[in-house]
Amino acid sequence: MDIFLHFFEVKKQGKSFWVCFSGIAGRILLTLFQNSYKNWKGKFFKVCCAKHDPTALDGFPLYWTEHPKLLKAKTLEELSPADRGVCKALSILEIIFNTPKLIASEYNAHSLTTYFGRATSFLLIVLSASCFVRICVLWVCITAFVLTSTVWFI
Amino acid sequence: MVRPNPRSGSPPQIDYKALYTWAPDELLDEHTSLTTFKDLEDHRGDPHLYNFNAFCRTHDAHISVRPGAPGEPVCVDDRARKRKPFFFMYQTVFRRIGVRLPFSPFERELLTEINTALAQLHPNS
Repeated sequence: MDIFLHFFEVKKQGKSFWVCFSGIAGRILLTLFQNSYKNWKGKFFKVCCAKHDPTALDGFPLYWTEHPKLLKAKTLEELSPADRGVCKALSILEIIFNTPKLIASEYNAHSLTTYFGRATSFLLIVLSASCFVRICVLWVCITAFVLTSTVWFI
Repeated sequence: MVRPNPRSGSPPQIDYKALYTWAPDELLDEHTSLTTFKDLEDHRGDPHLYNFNAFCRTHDAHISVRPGAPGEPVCVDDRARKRKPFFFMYQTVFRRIGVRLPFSPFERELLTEINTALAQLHPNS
């Protein structure tokens, strides 16, 4: 939850009655589903729980609330050390998850794992390659330094 | 808050403005045009095809989706007619965003944290 609220803030735009999750500049986690929505107003259904499952509507606000809680995005300092580490890793990897794919894979652990794997593996390979090159350069420098020192000492 | 309807046989009209004094007129005017079971069938589409408009992840048995009542604002709760609990969900959230029911623990927790009903969230977010 806190990780999500590091990447998004909750606000109202202008005189609109609707509440928005708004992305923070420089903290992109998900692709925009669509830049603008039109013609969605005035078309909604009523959802009730079925007789055999009276708990289906438990655990979240059902009705329009007079005072929604508008929140500013959490800073890294406000997060727990574990959440801070995850947020830092996500920003270093610069992964932007594809929202429609995530929603489609929700509750499907296998396809979600596959998607996360694909999204992160390329970047990890790039990072690993970058680290490997740095280690090689460092090794060459140390070797050169040692050889030079040896020659100078002799 | 329930006014007798002069036309006999039709349900009594509810004075939503008196019930929801905090709600601006524009919000009270936001009601659904999907008020018949045919609207519901049209949304569901052909059950033999892959259903992009499904309501639930696996099957619809956990949830009962119904058309809205004519003239009922999006901000009403179950006080008006003392019915079973319900919530409103915009058609575009099913159709274009692909959100399915029941909600995951994360979705429930997030809505609770921001004290917001699903219909109160702009679809673009």
